[in-house]
Order: sequence, then structure tokens, then C-alpha cells
Amino acid sequence: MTALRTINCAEATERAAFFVLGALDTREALEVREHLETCSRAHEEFAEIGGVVPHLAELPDEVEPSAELRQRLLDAVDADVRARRREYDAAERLVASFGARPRAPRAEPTEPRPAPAGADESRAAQAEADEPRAIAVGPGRPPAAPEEISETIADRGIETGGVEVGAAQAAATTLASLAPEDAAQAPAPAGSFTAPRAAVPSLAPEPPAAAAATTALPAPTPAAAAAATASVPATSRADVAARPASIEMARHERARRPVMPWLVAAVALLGIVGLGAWNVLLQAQLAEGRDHMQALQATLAARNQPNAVVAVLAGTDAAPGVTGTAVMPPGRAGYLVVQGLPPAPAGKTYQAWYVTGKESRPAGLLKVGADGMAVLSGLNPPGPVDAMAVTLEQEGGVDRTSQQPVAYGKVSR
Amino acid sequence: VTDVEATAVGTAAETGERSDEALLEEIARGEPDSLATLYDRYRTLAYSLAFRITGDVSLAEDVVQEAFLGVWRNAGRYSSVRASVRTWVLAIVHHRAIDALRRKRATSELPDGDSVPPVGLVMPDVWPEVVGRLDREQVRRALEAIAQPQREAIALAYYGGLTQQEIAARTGTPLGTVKSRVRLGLLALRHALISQGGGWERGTAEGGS
Repeated sequence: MTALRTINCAEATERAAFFVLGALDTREALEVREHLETCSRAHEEFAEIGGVVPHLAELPDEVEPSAELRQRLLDAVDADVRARRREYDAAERLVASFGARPRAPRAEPTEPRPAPAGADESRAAQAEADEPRAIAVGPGRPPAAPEEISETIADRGIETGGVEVGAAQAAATTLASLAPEDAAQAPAPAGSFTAPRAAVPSLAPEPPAAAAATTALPAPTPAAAAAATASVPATSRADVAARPASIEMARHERARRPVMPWLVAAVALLGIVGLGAWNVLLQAQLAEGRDHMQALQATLAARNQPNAVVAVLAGTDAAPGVTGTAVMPPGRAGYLVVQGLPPAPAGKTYQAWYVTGKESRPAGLLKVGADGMAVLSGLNPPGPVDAMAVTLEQEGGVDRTSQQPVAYGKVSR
Repeated sequence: VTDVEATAVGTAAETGERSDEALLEEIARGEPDSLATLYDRYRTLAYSLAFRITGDVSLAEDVVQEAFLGVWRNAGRYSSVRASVRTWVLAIVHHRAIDALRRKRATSELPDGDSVPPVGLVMPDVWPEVVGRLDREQVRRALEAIAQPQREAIALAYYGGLTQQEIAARTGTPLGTVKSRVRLGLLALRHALISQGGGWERGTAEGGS
């Protein structure tokens, strides 16, 4: 498929009829969709002519499917339920297992940590006590530019200093295939990222990818999990099962929701870490990184749960570079991943909030890694949540906040 | 309450009283029984559409199965503001069916699969229906009322999954003409449907429930 082009209102309008009929070619349809999501005008013509299409759906002569189809469908649903349950449970066990290790930051607050500024152990302890567990993520440096990453992947080949780029790509493919189902999507959040599409790694062909990031749990690679992190900002959801349309859906997703720079950056970040040239802390950081990756993998698994509630966070004026995603599967512990946080000033800490109407309830403290990334696990909203927010609070956190959020994102359903 | 709504309620009552929206909420919470109920409610419409598009019994069944799996996985994202459940489900079926059709075409007619854009993603965002539920005959009459070339172009696009370029090539018509035919045809169909439905517009009268 050729690269997408940005089209203007007139071009979008010209395509409206075929768009509403679902008959544009893929590229043209994606361009229209992207235009509609980014254009501030109403484009009433789409609704005007689109309104008749539902009637066309009901015109064909009635024919009945075979009686067996019903059972086939229910079997497929059952298999879907079991697969996701296994996946989630496996990820949860992993997180639990590394959480129990003595060297894990929250379990051993007194152990010196490699993370520099802001790695305040009392905060880690506090986070532990708060139940949702705060985990600072990753050693390193700011994510590389997407172009740089493409090169990294291409140049380094399959294995770079212990980081399996191949696995990362497989994971990326999986993630990309977590495209939304066909219809009725929420529009992309306003704060979503701008998007050099060309830098996105190409997608491998189909089904095996579905298993790559989510079932290879025994030995998660940092890169794979980095890709997992990267998937998180995507508002894409829950459809891991191999299916014919997934690649196209993936293309679609990547084109209309430009999340991939983060993905690429995260893959590259881990790739860079893996190059082994960093500093004396490398070994420790890799070990720590592996823990984080497992948490991120669990985030991915959570995202794959049917009907997980997802909030994509964007930085406010106070911290414009911040991005993040909260994933809360029904009846399960959820995760919040935030990237791009500046170090908290001395005596301050970042705190996450469940926002319902005008009420904010504390969701846990965020421990920011050297690279500005933080993972909060164990999210368990007390009730319906409209949005997630992150504020900067006094050390130890507060019960009620009067701060303006540094990052905020509405729950999309 | 209009006749149109009464019809919809009647459909719901046949299979157990729960509204489509309530069923979707249950599906979103992971209730397979509710999916089965929704399937029973819409399997005929869904399969009829899939069969009309694919012209193939087993492909049409695959399409319907995939579409309902899609409903299962994405029920939580359905928004009643945009469209009725019925429209949403059928839109997913349509998308899947066109997808399957284009795939099939790519392999059976054009050995070089790369030359054909792999389907899909053309699922338009869902909109509130312009007019309320009309019976099939009313819609057919409305369609009959519009000019034949417009009708043909709409059918090739919607049921045939042909792109505007493909329709132009197949009918030997300039691309610009194809575009305007489809657009004008849809507008004409809209007017015809609105007059069939007594000029009542669901979207404005009801806020699209």
C-alpha cells in the first residue's frame, strides 16, 4: 500500500459517497478517516448521504444460515474467552513472581537503586503500601527519533547485545494487529501524537504474531515488552486473535492513530540499552528492565481482555511531552504506563487519579525512571471512571488534590 | 412512540424482552448467552447481507461468524449515539463481507495479489439512520425511484465492493461521472426514503437512540 497522503476538505468530500458505502480502496478510505478525525469542520455531507446506507444493508432477500453456525460461533467465543484468560493469568503470575524477588525495588526499599534523580525509596515504599505498585522503568536516555530506530533495527539485525530485535518486531506486529474491530470506534483522542508513518516497522504476515508477545511469557525479552509499552498509547484494543483482516486493520490503525513513534522509540530505547555500551549500571539496569518489561507485558495482556477500559493520557500545558495509557480490564487489576515525565522536584511526587465527574480518587503514586517512564500496576478503580489524571503532589501523596493535572485522558469506551 | 419503534420493540420481545442495548452491555461484561441472543435476533439479516455480497454459502457463514466475534470483542465500544445496534452489527457484517469478497477476488481473478489493495478498513464510521425503520418493500421502491445508472453504481459499490475506479472501468464510464452518480444516487435515495417514511427523520426527532 502506498503511503497515505494528507487530504483537504474538498478531497474528503469528493470521496464521501464511496466512503459511506465502504467502497473506497484502503488507502483512500484511510485518508478520509484521518481527515475526518483531524478536521475541525463538521462535514455534514457524510452523515447526510451516509444515513441511507443502513437501509441498503437490509435489502437483500432473506436467507438463513445453517443451524451449525450458531454453535460454531459460540465455540469460537468460548475459545476466545479461555485464551485471553490464560494469557492474562500468565502475565499476572509473572508480575507477581518478580514482585517477590528481594532485589525488586518495592520489596527492598533500602537497596540502592541505579535510577538517579528522584529515585526516592520512601516513595517506593509508599507506593507499595498503597497497593498499586509503582515501578520506575528502564535505564537509558530519551527515545531516539523514529528514523534512527528504523536504522537501529535494520542495521543491528536480529540480536543486539542481548536484546532480541526480532522479538520486538514480532511483538510490534502483534501490537499492530490489536486493531479495533471494524465499526463504531471512538475517535482518536485529541491529544494523540503526530505521526511519521514511514518509520513504522513493516508487519509480518499474520497469525503467529498473535502469540508472540503474549504467550512467550517465560522469557520475555526487554524489546518485546518495550514494544508492549509502546502499544499502550494506541487506542487499539483487544483483538489479538488471528483473523484475516488483522493486517489491514493494523495498517489502518497505525495510519489513523499515530501511536507508533512511541513504539518505535521504545523498541529503539531497549535496543540501545542492549548495545551494551552504556555504563557500569548496565547489568543492574537490564535486570530491572526485565522486571519492568514483565509489568508492561501484563499491561498488554490487560489490554487484550475484552472490553478493557482504556484511557489515553496526554500531557497538559504544564508537561506537554507526557503521554500515557491506563488499561483496566473488567474485574482485573489494571495498569497505567506514563512516559515523558520530567523528574519530580525534591519533596514532590507524581500521583495518579481516577476521575469520576468532578471527583478525583487516588490511584497510586508514580515512580519515575531515569528516562521519564513509570508503570503503576494494580489499578482497581472503585467505580465507574470517566478519566485518569496525573498530578504533582507533595511527597507521599495526598487524599484529595487541588493541583492541575500534568497529564489527563478520558476513558474511551 | 412511532410505528417504527414499535416494530423494533416487537423484534426484541420475540427473543426475550431485553433491548439490544441491554444485550450489548451484557456482552461487554462477557456473557456469551447474550451474544447468542443477539445472534438469534440478527442472524438472518446478517447472513442475508453476507450472502448477497459474497454469493458463497460457506464464505458468508465465515463472515457472519467473524462479525459476531467482532461484536463479542468490541461490545464495550458500541455507542448508541452513533447508530442503533442493528445498524452497528450490519455495518460490521458489511465490512467483513466486502473484505472477504475483495480477498477472494484478489486470489481468483488476479494472481498477483499485490496489485490489489488488500481490503478493508473501509468501514465507515457509523451514523444515526436518517429515516426510521422501513420495510424492505419501501426501501426497494425508493431505490427503484432513482435513475438506473445511479442505482447500478450504488449496487456495484455497496454489494460488489468495487472501488470508484473499478466501477469506472467495468461500466466504461469516466471516473468523475461514477463519483457524481453515486453521490447523487445516495441523495436521491435519501429523499425517496424520507418521503416513504412520511418525512420523519430519526436522527433529529430522536437524537439517534
